[in-house]
Amino acid sequence: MTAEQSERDADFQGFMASRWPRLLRTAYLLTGEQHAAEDLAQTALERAYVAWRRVTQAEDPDAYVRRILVNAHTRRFRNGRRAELPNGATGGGQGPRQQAEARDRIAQTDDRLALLPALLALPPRQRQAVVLRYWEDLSVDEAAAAMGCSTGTIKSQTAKALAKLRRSPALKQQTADTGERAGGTER
Amino acid sequence: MHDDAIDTALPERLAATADQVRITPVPATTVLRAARRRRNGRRLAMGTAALAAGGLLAAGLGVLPEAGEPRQPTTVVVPPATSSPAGPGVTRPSNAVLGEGTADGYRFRVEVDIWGAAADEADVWNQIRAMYESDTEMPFEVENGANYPPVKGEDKLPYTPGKSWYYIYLSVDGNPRVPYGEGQILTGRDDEIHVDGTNLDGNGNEGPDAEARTVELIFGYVPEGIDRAEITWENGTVSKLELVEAAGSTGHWFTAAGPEGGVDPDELRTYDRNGKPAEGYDFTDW
Repeated sequence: MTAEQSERDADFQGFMASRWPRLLRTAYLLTGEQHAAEDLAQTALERAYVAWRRVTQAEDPDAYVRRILVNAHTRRFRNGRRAELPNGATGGGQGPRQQAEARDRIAQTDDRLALLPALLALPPRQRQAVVLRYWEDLSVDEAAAAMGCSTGTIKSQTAKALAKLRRSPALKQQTADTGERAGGTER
Repeated sequence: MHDDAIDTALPERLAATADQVRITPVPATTVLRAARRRRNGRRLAMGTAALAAGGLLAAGLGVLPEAGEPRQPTTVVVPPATSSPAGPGVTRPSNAVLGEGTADGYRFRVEVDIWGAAADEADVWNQIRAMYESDTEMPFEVENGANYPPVKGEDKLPYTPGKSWYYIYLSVDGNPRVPYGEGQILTGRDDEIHVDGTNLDGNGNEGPDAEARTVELIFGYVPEGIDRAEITWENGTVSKLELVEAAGSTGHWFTAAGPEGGVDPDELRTYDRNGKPAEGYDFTDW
């Protein structure tokens, strides 16, 4: 291995170490499953390594890698590899009424139980739009760049996704329960 | 009230959900090893392309490799005279078969439907109605109205006249075709390359050799003026594309199937009628 290659690998490994947790979390929101998320994040990094010169020359290397991740996710969906729900994520039999003394912990678990199935029920592009806008906190322009589409498409995909999430019975119920718990705390 | 609460709480809920993933150690070795394989494939492709330019590479599709040689792309055949004789209408699409073949023991067939460009707004509304009645899965730009399908007088015009809609379909083993891509094309120059694709891996990831038999299927469109095109694969092999005409588009359509083993495409190269390289497509961040 030449000195140049060693330097390149060292740079890339530094990048990979600093971005791995974030990429993994984003991939988890897109796939809903631990192993699928690891696989997706890993694929994105492999492709980033191949295109490393372009990544480093990009105005925003994170945006470049994010686009690779979104593209890889889109391809997986088209290939029919939709992730399955993780065990227990259906919410059945794990109600928040249990262990009232551990409300905070349960509340956090409820968020996952309610949101993840609703999120995975969205069409992939709508899911991507929601994750990019509300988890990655990207602007409409940035999300459009990541998904390779127009800003109008981002706006409409996001609006459709939110409308579907609002109709999710589990989310509505969970929101109501959260409100009640918050009220109870104040008292 | 609850609706607003859901919207407001969304970032927090997404964060809580994202935190449920187990942050595993950075798979540095695995990523680097796999990435180097990809990169070396790309280098090999470039070297092979240079040989091809010098006329030293025989373009053999579906030829079994000699020991140590890379697997060749999967054979794609375009049946003769597959384009429907009638030109496309605004309310009735033309159809053309772009390629057929066998991968992982499954027969695949790729075809395109082209809906003629609407001349005016009335044409747009008629076309939407016809797409709906023919069970054509409309793209988001079309279905984005309050009604489905959008209704004149109630929804805004979903798209402007002047471009043809295309829909690419894939069928396997004679089963009903499934949409795999769609978009709009101009009916003249200044159009762009359109590329889409999927994996052909039979019943999915079943069996120990599933990955080894996976074939990457690429299909798309090159605009008018392109006389010859080829796709290079990451193992260095090349697919010479058979360009197919389809009524309603001035460019050409193509299908390519990669070598077994899930070999990714590397680059789409195009040439004009003088053999001069034209704009291509880089699959790096595909």
